[in-house]
Amino acid sequence: MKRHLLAQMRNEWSSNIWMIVELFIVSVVLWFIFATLAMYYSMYKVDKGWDSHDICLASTNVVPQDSPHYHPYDSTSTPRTDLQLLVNNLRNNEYVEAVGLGQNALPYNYNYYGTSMGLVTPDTTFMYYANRRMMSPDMFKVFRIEGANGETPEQLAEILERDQVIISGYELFDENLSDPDRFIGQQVFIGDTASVFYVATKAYGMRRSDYEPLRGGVVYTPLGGIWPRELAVRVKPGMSEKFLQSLTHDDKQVGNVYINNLRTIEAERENAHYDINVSIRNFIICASFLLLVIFLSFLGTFWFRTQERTSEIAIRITNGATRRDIFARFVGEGLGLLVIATVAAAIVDILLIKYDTLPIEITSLTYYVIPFVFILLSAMTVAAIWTPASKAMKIDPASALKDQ
Amino acid sequence: MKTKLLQILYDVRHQPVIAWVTFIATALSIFLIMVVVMMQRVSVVPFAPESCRDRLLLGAYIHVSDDGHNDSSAPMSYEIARKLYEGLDGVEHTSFFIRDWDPVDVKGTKNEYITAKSRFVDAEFFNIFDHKLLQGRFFTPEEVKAGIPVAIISERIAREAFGDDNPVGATIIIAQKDYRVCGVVADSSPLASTAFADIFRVAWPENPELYYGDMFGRFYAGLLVADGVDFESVREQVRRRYDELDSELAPEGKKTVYHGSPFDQEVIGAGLSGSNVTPDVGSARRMRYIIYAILLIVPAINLSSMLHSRMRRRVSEIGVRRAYGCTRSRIVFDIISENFIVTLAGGFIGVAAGVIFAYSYSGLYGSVATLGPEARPEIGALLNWTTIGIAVGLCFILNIISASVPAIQAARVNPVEAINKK
Repeated sequence: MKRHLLAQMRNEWSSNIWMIVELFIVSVVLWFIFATLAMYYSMYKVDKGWDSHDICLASTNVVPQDSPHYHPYDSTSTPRTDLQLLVNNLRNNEYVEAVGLGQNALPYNYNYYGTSMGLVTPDTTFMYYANRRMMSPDMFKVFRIEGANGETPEQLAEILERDQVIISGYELFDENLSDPDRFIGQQVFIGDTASVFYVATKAYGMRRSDYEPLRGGVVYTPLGGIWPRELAVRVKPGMSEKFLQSLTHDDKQVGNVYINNLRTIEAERENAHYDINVSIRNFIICASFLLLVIFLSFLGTFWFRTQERTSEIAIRITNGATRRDIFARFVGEGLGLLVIATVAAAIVDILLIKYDTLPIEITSLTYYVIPFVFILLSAMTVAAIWTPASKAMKIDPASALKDQ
Repeated sequence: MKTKLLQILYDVRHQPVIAWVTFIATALSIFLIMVVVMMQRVSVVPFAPESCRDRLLLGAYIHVSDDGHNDSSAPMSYEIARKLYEGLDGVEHTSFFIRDWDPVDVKGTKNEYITAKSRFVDAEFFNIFDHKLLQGRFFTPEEVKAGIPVAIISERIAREAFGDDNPVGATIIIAQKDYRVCGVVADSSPLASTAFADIFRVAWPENPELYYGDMFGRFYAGLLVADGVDFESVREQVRRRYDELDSELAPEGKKTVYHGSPFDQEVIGAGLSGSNVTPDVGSARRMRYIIYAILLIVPAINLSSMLHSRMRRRVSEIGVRRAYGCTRSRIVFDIISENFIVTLAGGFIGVAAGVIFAYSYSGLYGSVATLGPEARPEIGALLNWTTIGIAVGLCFILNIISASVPAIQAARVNPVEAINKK
């Protein structure tokens, strides 16, 4: 049976060659598409180390002094006292659990405040490179950032209260970088040697995007004298919209300080991931298109073969082949072509991985994509051949052989 | 021509599945390629208020390095932008403006705040970008120089903030500051990523909001290059100015890193790169060509296989024609031209579907900018002679790739054997 199948495939070699070439190209391209999607998925599913639900964000602003809406200050108040009052008012909102302030402290924000941190030893200076996130201690409670050793957000907040700093590990290995653990429990300088901090512990590093690994590390530092432009609020579960609707003008402005650009973290995430979501969608459209082309290709070719081989099929049936055998032969021919194309494609895929010629990170999933593509194309092949094969099964030998 | 049409109709009647598969695969292929083409075209094709795209260059960012380890890069301060881009030969207009939108709360005579996208620009900005003025006037250079709080608002903001009231001359509160509205412009698409805004405020050079130190700030330089002037000659002048700036920075142990600015629309349309990165247009272009090639070659192989099947049914017909003296080249030409008609018909459907899809689905243009639901290209940016030319060209290429081999194979048929098969 198998030998007959191979002989049959050889008889149709000219059109089979075209189909193998087509399947080979599609197989390689689909592998690249799904390997890219697998890479995104691998990055996305990494534990972020913070809770990304039930958070609202806003920008803090000060009315310009040359504005007629500016209220001059007396000796007891400043923009900072206004800001503190505004934060306290928000904390008293019935939907709010915690309010934090920060600068470059928010996720889904592509700013990178590149900072070098140095540990001076008698022999050398070890350097740690990080995105600096400056924040009030309550930011740990808002984002529920977890310590690498199981510290709670409250414990991390206490560390920042003491003007100590917290660092993260690295996600991407680089032999030029020092081991972050070396810095824990040490006095280090941040930026310039005059600015000295104690590194208390290690926590999860807040990424800029769910689809991007940390570049370097993250160092969480107190705000110091910096004016925080960012405000984040943790609300009770499911209360984001109600919280935003509950805010009055007095909640949003105290003296000369006001907040605007209020939005949920979901909106911020969607905004930040817009381009990558478009890419993912385009990849899926492209993959669907290629699968559809394969479907049409098998459908058209095998439809033609059914018509061309009517008498041959009739003779097979007359000689005792069951209709199931006829169906299996057609499907077997299609899958045989796919196996040949997949073997060639898999060799190319592995060579592309080996010589690092593609703009994607290789993960364990990259290899699993090869059999996945085979299964996908097999399903498409069987679906396309189903109708012509069913038609072949139903051939009436008597009428098919009447002319002969 | 009539014979070819009759032949096509005959094929449709006698091999409907193969004929329809051929037609659908062609339409689908052209649809997808045209959507990819239009996605890219929208980011480069001129349309108001960016009718100047063919002559536009954008001076963006400054990157300063000291010992090769400590780098800083960001948009420019006003002084640096002027130093690098003011008064270049071959440039008709130079504008110093802020390219990033600021989300601001705005209130007019209707007593409620609305959210808008604001941008700081100078008077020259409106000489480069053709915003349609509906009421009032644009900024004067004197207003910009003195930092007079005036604003130009879009039709939408005029309607939402002022209702039926005349906005020109009225006060509008923008980010807690009073401005006088001096003009109203027509709404524009956010796809015009360099020129679009709901509200334009004067880019006062001394505005502290627009500075981060001596070198850095929020300024970009828009350059409208004179007709016929080579972009490279403008870049060469800018490169020389970078050298001069390096001489000034040398005593501080710093130097600039040049990344090819000012950039043309192809780079702008791709979203610009980071401030410390040289845009890799070649790589993006190569990737685009690979996508076009895959989207063409895979369906072409499929179509070729279909045509090969159809030709097997016409062996005897070709044999008879050969027996009556028809040349092989004539048969090849007839098959290819007959197939071209089918490809064009499928291509027409594909292009029409592509234009409708590209016009109605704004989510397509994510890479141009982060846009919001109001982003929609003008129909002229999608459907024009260039697009039609590209579509016909693609149909022709698809036809040649898919039809050549089956046509040549069919023409090689031996007339005696072909007729005997009958």
